[in-house]
Amino acid sequence: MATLKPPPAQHRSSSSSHTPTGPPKAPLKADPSATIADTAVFQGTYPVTIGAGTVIHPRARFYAYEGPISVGDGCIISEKAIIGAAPGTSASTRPSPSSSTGPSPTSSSTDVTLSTPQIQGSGQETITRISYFVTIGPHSTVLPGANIHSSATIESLVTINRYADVGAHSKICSGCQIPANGSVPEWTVVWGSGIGQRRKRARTAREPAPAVVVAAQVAQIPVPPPAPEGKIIENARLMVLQKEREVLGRMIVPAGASKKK
Amino acid sequence: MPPKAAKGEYIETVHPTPAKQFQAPAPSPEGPNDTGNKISRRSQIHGTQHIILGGKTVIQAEAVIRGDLYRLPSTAASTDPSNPPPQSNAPSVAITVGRYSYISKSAILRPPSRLHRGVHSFYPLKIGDHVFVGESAVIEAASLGNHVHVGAGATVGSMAIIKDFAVVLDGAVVPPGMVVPSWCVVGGRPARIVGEVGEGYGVEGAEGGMARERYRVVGRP
Repeated sequence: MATLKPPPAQHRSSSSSHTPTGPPKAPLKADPSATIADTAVFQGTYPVTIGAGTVIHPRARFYAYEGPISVGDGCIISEKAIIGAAPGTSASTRPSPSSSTGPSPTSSSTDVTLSTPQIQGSGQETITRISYFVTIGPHSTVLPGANIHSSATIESLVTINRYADVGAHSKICSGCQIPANGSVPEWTVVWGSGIGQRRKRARTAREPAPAVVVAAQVAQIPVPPPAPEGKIIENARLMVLQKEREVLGRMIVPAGASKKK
Repeated sequence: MPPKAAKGEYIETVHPTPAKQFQAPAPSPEGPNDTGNKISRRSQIHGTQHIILGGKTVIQAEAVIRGDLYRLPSTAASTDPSNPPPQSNAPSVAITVGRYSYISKSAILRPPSRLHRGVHSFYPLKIGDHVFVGESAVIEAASLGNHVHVGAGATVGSMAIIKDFAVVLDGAVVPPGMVVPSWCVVGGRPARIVGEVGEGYGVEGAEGGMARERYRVVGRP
């Protein structure tokens, strides 16, 4: 029976010591109201900040090797989501800090790739920012430098590449990828495969569909009122998310808790 | 059946041992054969007391099964944390998996949740017999019928219902709440019906009906 239990948690807030052979444990600064599952993994050298009311599902992984990770209030990070990058993955798409406005003094096409490790070594850090009320689905990856604005939804199996920017109230549907340095405007839905297709979320009140109007006339009942504005629907969704977080907070085995199972 | 001497990758559950954490389901007409589940030692199963495996189920490494997201009794809806509701004797089941079903590497099974009458609760995820779940698939469905095939990297959205003998192609995204009829092939993002499976699909030994063979070869050296 012991063998059927999940392997021992790699993260325990109560135990500060770790084996010297293991990967470095990222300093975790979590709000006391956050729910962090015992099997969530925090690795790296930079700090990880978790906001109030955020729920981290089991098996979520945070790799703070290239810079600090900040997760705002009220987020949900699902199973097997990866925030950051494990060491060894290339940072080749990193833009040069001096940007593309002018030629940098060492500029030549070969130099850029060669100088990447030096930039990393010189203490440049890449902040990964996840704002308030963001949902990140299972198996999704958020690479370092990404910036996800508030109330965005990332569904499952999504890859947010380096330095991508996801606007507020946007939704990235399952299986999509946001390219490096890519940007998604606010109130946008990205769907389809690969980089996907985009559309704006409906924000104004919408009249009922023609079929509904005809059906209402046939049935001799009053035509239903127009659908509520997008803002109202979005607020309702955020309220449901709040309820979900409350329920999850009661169900997830928190880190450091004694195993009652 | 003596336990194997060598420590293989898979744990096989054997019926009368009290060490088994998975509950025995009610006796099925096929007899008390709820045994022989092959569960990888590296699988990531949470809340085992809320999971029922029907027997001959294979769970591969790094598969995440969220049995801890079970349906709380309705009294648990009270927001008073200092007064937890009494534990009922009947344990609520989060995930049921039927016989000869196969959960591949890194697949995720998580029960769907929804808000109903002001209470957010999780609903049981039922998986039938002879079901195949591909690598890295994410299943949040309300139910998968018998002989369902879910391809690698597919997503089945919250509260979707996949009926018997349906096929979800690799990388498909079945939207939340979709009902896939029997014998249909769905694919694409979002998933839509792209065809139907042929006559004889799922017959033992034919296409879609190799579940027993699939079970037998797992864990063999």
